[in-house]
Amino acid sequence: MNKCFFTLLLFIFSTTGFSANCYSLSGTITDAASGESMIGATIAVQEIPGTGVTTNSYGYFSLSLPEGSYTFTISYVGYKSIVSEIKLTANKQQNFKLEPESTQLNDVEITAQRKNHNITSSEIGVEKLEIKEIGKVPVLFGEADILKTLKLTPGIKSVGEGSGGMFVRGGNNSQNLILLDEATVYNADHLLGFFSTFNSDAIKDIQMFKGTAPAEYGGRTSSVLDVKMNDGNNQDYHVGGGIGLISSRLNVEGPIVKDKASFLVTARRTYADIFLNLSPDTLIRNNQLYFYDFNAKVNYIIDDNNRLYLSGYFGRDVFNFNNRFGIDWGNKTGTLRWNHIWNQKLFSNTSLIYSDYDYKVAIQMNYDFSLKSVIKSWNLKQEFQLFANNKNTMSFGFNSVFHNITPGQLEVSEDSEINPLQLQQKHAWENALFFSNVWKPNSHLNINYGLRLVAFYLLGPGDFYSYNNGEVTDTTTYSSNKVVQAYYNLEPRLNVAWVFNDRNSMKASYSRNTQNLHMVSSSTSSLPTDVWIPSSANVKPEIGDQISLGYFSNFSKDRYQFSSEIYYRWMQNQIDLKNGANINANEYMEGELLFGIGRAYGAEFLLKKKYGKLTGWIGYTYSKTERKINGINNDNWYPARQDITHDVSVVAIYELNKKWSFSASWVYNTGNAVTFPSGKYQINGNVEYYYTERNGYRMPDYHRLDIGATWVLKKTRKSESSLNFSVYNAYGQKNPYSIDFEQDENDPSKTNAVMTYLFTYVPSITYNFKF
Amino acid sequence: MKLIIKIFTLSFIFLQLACTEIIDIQTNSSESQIIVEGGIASNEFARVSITKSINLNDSDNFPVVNNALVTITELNGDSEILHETRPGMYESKTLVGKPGKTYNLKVETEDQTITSTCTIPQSIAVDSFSVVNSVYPGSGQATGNQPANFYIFTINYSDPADVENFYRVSVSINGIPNSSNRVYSDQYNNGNKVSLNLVMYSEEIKSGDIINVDFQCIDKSVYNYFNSISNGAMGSSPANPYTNLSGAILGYFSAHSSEKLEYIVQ
Repeated sequence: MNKCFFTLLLFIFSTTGFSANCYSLSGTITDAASGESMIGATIAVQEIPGTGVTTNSYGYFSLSLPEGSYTFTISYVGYKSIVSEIKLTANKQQNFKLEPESTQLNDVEITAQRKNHNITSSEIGVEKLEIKEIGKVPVLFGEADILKTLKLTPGIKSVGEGSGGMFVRGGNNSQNLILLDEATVYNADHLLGFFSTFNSDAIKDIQMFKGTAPAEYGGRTSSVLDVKMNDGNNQDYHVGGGIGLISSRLNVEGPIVKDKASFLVTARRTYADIFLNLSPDTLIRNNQLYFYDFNAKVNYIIDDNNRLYLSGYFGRDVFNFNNRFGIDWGNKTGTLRWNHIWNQKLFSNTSLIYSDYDYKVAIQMNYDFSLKSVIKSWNLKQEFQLFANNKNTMSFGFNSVFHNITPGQLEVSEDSEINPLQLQQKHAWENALFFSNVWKPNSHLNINYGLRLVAFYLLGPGDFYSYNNGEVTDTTTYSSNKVVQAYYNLEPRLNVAWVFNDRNSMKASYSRNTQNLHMVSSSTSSLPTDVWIPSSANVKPEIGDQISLGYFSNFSKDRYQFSSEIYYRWMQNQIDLKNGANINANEYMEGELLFGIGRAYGAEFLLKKKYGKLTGWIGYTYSKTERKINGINNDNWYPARQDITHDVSVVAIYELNKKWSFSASWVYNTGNAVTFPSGKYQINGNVEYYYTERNGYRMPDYHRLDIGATWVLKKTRKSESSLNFSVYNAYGQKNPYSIDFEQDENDPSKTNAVMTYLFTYVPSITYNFKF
Repeated sequence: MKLIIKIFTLSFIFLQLACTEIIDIQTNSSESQIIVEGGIASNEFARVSITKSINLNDSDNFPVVNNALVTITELNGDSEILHETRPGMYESKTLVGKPGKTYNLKVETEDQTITSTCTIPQSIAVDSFSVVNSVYPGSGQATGNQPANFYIFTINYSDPADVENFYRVSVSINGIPNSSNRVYSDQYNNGNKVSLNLVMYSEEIKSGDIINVDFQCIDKSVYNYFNSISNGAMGSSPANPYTNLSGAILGYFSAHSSEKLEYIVQ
């Protein structure tokens, strides 16, 4: 395998040799005010239309051109473009600094560089959101939230009110790869999904791949959400924050050594539970329900060719009921990165990444009892980017992750009747080699092809079980580091764009993704007690194949962007649970699993207005997603719970003047699939319900309007303060959280459908500041 | 551990984050199913009730199945045809359950034959039985100004270490069955002295009520039935329980030991 990889390397290096009389312009593009590197800024060559590159995740670019004089336009949305004439007679390294636009009220001048990256790139099935945009969309409790805003775009759904989790193109919540500075975030929800783990103060860039991610990404079958943190201002110190009704946040950033090193620290804490103290009832008063999280990052520019970053996240949710029952859970991540520029064309990034997730349940009844579960991952990722010539940009490298899972550790006080229990730890080693190339053979074609080879090893020590109908039939003992099970998978990825002209393009894509780390959840909403298990002899790698086709069009000088995509997805080795399955603290949990296949298809439409006083979008999704699991629904196909046929979202942001801006979002979707009884019967005098099929019914349609307003109190070059008002569910629609069937209290022979709903109107006010 | 999820859900409702409302849902009609609920306890006669399911919108008037041929057979032993003592209820007159014996049940109706097999486990004695009323589960005795929201019934027994044991506790108040789905395994307390707590809301109980508790050692298949009958808490999809009958999809046949406890509420 290694031999093959090095042959590939050799090939790549040899191709770069052909461009002998070409010279390259390379460098980084940063925000002049903060020194933050800019991701996706474009560098275009006026003399050769269609030639241009965008900066990578670290703001680096490299462009090869024949000897000559060129006019380069460097631009980024919301920033003044730079036009620079450069004579290329040798390889040249030059950094650019972009100044933010002073006003965004008027339509942004459409400069020489058209803002049509969405048309010309090969990206399909990608959602990008700008942090500024997210800050303006009204949300629950007034806390800007990237996950909530993403769910307003086509193909990304939540199921029902306030439930966490994210369902992308018919996939399950457990099939999303969520990365924060490359580190896996195992549980992206705070407070069961009312908040996400991402504090938008700390975030620079968000990209969501709906099953079409390039070969650098892997490990989950449904989607990749790549979130990158800010580096920290290396020019001036700044303090910012917000004070809200139920949460506050603070961030501090600044230079450690000006132009060389900077830091960023953000913190958040909710205090919803302080209101519980107002209750006269001690049962309610003695409860705790809050979360806090921190993001921190430092970076150091060693010299023109070397840069180091260290970033981390720590978050914790705490729930405590009368000191009798408590649960706390959270993620930790840490990423150490080294950017190195080997030469004008070869950029590399080496990352050492740690992430973990754990939860702990504590019960104090007649005795003390606690259950703890942890997943830890250590990851080494090496990525090279080779800006070979102006037709090819390659990316290749490897990824090696070691996972250690403590599925359950039961600790009890000595007088307890419960036996202490330590489930066997699980060890897995996940490796990948990847290669991808963005190839632009001519101005009409843009092709991104790639391949990812995944080698997964389940390692000893431990006892491993074989099951028949959920009963253990055989036990095999393996010693430390022995390979218990190995799986090899090849994942081809292909995105092709056919650019008709600078306003219209067609794109197509095929990709395969596999998943060797599976989340088993006793519910479809995101619970902190979800369990992660590696692939094994019983649990095969999940496989997802997707084809998609899209048409992209910009009009009215790129002010409007329209996209429509259709997709079809096949899913293999999907996992579900038996009725009444016990997944926590169960050594034989694999015996509780059921396996099957899935399929999903849909069409997504998005019309976006990018610039002007009024911005926003209208999205519509038609979709279907089904499962066929052995042991469920008589082994017949049935709709998955997240199967929502029609889904509409409208987002509008209106900037009235320098003081006031308004926003509104409206969502409407037909009900998700749900299992209701179709009959009833009596067992031992109790009424029980008879189910004829899985998910054969639909929840009522869901709709909700949220409105918001931002009042800028003060805005200077240095400081800014504003008040944000919002009302969640402005017309008080009672959207069901769940529907249960119960016998009528007054007439026990009658059955009622009882809807539980969480929120009608939720007003909130937040004071935001920055200086 | 499903308990955790339940407590979690309950706590949320306790924090009054949620409101409820009765809504109108049109459910489909379903084909009427035969429900067999069979039991044979040690030293007791066999009892089998045969009823039918109805549509969800119907009023709870569950039809019974008359004139079925119900046979119970002890493996390598006697066999008896059960008599219909009242409509839909069939009982044995001579055959009683014996610990460690396996029983075959056969139910023949006009168009269906339903069979099942189950074994009575060795009985495990209750060491003690106590009742306290408390503010909330685990808080101990209610005191002074705080209202006693709950009754906690505690059954103490010693679980044998050498075998897998399953228990069911059936509760009735003044002869009316309460919840019948209380089943327990010894997965986390094998070989220990166990205190089983049954939590009941005080609202359900008033002074003078007679609480009958039937403590049963059950077969694993019966445990699986009652363990899987619980509804879909927190968004998991509900489904019919795993039955140990063949020829029918709803109901169960339980051969079990039985120890009866009684408490009169003061």
